[in-house]
Amino acid sequence: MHASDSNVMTRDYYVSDGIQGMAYIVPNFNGKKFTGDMVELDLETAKYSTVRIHGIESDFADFYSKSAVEADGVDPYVKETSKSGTDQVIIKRLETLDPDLAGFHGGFSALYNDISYGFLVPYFNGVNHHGKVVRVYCGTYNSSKTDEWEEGTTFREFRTKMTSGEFEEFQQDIDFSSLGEPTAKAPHCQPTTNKLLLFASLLASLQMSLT
Amino acid sequence: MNGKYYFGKVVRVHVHTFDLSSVEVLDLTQKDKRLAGFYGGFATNLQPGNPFTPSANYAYLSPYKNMIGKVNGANTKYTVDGYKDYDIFDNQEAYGGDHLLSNEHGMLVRINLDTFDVAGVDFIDLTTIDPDLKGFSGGFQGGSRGYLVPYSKGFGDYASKVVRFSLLDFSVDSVEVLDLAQKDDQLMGFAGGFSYGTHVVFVPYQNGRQDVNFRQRNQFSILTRVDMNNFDVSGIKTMDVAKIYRKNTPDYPDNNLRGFVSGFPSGSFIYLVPHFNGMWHGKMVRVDMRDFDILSDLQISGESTDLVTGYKGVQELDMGKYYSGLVGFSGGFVRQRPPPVDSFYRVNEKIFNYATGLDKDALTKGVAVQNIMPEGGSAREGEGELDAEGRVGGEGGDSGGEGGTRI
Repeated sequence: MHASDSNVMTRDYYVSDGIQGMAYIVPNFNGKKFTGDMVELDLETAKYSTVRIHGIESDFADFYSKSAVEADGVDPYVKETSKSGTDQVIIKRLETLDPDLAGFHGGFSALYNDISYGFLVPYFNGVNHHGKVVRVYCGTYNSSKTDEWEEGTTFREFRTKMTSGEFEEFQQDIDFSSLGEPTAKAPHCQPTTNKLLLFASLLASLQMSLT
Repeated sequence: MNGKYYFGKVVRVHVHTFDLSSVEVLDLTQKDKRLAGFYGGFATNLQPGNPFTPSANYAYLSPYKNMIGKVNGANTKYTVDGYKDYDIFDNQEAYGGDHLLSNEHGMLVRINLDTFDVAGVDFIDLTTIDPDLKGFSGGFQGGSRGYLVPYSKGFGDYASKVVRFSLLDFSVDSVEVLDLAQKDDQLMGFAGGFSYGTHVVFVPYQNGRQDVNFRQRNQFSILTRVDMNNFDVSGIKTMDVAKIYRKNTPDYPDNNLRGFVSGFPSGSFIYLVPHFNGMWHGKMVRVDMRDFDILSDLQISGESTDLVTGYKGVQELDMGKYYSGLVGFSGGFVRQRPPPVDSFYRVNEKIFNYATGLDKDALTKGVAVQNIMPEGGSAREGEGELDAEGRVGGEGGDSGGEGGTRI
């Protein structure tokens, strides 16, 4: 049978519906300086309290709060006021690891067996175009339990030294310091494939000045 | 751009060991000196064992910009006045004198990841197809095809033509072009994109349309979705997120929801990453894709989007209110999880079994292999359909995002 002889083939898809996920938002420039304040953002708002005002059920939003990082009283879900006991937004200050860890351009996630990683692509930190890749440990999926994650977000920095625009020397500087408290439990999520090697940095030469 | 010049050295490192011993570097300019200055890319996710999968694993780089000069041509560091190691910087031509010009280019590169060497590098100069096919801001996989996001053809000259190409047949003949501006002349200048189900989504950044944008800003707000199975003007649908009533309090539209760089899908939603809307901002937008069609249709017809749909519509979380430094992001991604141990490969096998009776060798082109999602991607079991021309059906979902790299 030739392909053109067949009108439709059925295939299966997996379902991952609803509100879920743990996101990592890549820091770049905050209007004052190139920054390393990465955000870990819990997308699963269902486990937090729900605000319903005038018939509108708002869950991905800012709320009046008593625990603002900056005391303007407006926050996303924070542990003091949410039933989950966790913050929805957790700030990971990468510059506390290394002051050069700022001004990234994009990032991506990857899997190694049950371990989930994120990677931040280095670009310009306000002083130098730098080559310090940050790997974020996003958790280990516990396949013996349904939809459970081992906790903790840690970082590992990979540094390439660039002089005169050329790779002259690689210098390893690894720091497993944990920057934050354990993250919230992650919800069910989608399957993905697993390969040992990741094409880690596709940004062969990127242009940052988008504005 | 590495602070000295636009370069073409691709780096890869082992995900897990993540040390110097696993670092490899591939200098694309050894293949062709024009292969420099890319903006992201993606590695394909075509499953091993699938009879339609190419024999090698490939990655693709999205062409963006480099420098060109009257002396030594592409990626030169030679100025007309005799300098031979001139430091290159963005928008250099604005300063004049050296006759060096920014060069948005269309060199789409494919790299064989199994060999990761110069011999495994192929490229297509998209500008030979159409001179507008240059200056893309990333790419991603959608089914069995790759997509490039149109951004800029030059300073203040924004691009609107989406390129898609076959991941099974890397040739000029497989390249297709869709000009989003044919639908709406504001649809240009996107930054990042991803696939969601049977659609591809483009993230609005800046289109320079000060004549129509809020407070004469360069940045725009029209989220654009294209049907993968109808890669045509009629398959384009839009939602202006700055003019939608939100499921927030207050719920009225927020004109500042514009100027995003990158986004990603998770579950039933897509998320837009805040960058610059005239100010560096932190307004993360979440769109419930179950509402996309109804809200888009209402908006296009000029009717109110202030209604209850039963879903979450459009919502906004301003991280800058939490902490004023949480603005101006450049990307985002969601945590991935492993496949269900006993079912993922079984499903693949099932897919192949559905092809029983089909001539494997006859199905060489155009067959969509559904991408697998990171955490929260959306797909519906049993509802997807794949026809003989490789079109994907159902509410399956796959995803990309900044960098688009998934394994």
